[in-house]
Amino acid sequence: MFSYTTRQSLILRVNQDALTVTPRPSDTLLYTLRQELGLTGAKPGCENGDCGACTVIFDNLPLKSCLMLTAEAVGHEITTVEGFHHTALQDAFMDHWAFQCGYCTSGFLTTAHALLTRHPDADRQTMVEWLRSNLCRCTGYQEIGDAVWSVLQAGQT
Amino acid sequence: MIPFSFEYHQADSLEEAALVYQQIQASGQRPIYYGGGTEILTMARLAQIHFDAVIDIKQIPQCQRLERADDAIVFGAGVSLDRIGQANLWPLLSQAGARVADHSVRCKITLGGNLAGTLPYREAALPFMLFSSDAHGLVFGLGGSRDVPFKELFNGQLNLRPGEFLVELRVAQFAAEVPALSVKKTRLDWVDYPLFTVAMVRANSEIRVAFSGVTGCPFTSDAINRMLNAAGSGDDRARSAVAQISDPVVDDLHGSAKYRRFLLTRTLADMLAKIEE
Repeated sequence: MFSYTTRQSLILRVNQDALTVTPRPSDTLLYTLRQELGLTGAKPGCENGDCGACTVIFDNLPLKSCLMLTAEAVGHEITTVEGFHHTALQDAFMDHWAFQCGYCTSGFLTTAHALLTRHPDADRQTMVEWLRSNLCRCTGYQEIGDAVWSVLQAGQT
Repeated sequence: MIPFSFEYHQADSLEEAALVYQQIQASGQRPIYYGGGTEILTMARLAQIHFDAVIDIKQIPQCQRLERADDAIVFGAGVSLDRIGQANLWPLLSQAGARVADHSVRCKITLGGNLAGTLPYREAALPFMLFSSDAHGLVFGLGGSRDVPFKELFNGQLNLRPGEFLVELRVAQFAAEVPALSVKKTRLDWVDYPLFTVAMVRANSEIRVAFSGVTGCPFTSDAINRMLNAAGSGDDRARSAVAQISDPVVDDLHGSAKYRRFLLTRTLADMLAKIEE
């Protein structure tokens, strides 16, 4: 039994580093990433699981960090957008102008990165199904889809 | 940020979960069981619910079962809807679960959480409702485990005794081998709360349906099933079936009751045509 009843030290694995945090047991992973670790790539949007701006990769799956307690993340591998360094996906987002205001970008990047890892052979329908988890209020969906599709196609050729 | 504090306990076994629940309750505090937690956290953030501790049960090995065993398929209550879809042991459940929320959220929502939630939809229950004579649930509490027929366990909502939680659901293997469909209709976007969801099967030449989002909670009805199995065209049978709905049909911003009845009639007729091909 792992019981976390008051604020105390926890070790989180984030972007391949072991980091110490001291959240309340009721703090979400989103809150801890931003407020304790300064990893502000995961954005607070709706904080209701709808917009996807706070998406992180959790053991190779995209998860909305507003819908997860920090304590749940102990023992798991978390990747935020800060863990990406000059990836083909980031280049594709720039090449296809796949952002406008940019607030949703890190959420789309993490969702798409998880898709590329888990389903490198994804068809367009699968890609759309995964990207539907994220909202872009600037409505840049066409360019975002084009960017992700270009990386999928490049990997499949 | 969640505006109040609570404890987090991650149980490794069924017994541990039930025991810590009792201990917390005995100390005058309010515990709740926690699966994916998506609804609990969103409601907590809005201070719509209050509790003192969550007991996370999804890591318990029995809650993580997802397998064929003997002549049944076993779904642990802690398994995510995404994992159920990936494994696809029961295509009808995969289909019904695949339209809950969005993909990322389905990586967190558990089968047990979908059935136990306060949202009225509980779409993952529909397939089990269609095979209620051949589906069972295993629940656990301080008194130990109980095997409960699905029709007793779920009548629109999960019926658990105080301190109990759902461990797993089982359905007979043949449920995965009959023609089946699940259709969700939304007002505009693909990802949205449903106008309704319909699950339909044809087993031994008999058609059965279950609904979510039409009235206040998921339901199936012998009267509706009789109408769908009567003689006549698909359109006529669908109209007669929808006319049998006696509870108030949901009338909200997503759609009026009249529109829901109209769309449900069309949807049933289309599903009949497809399943009877």
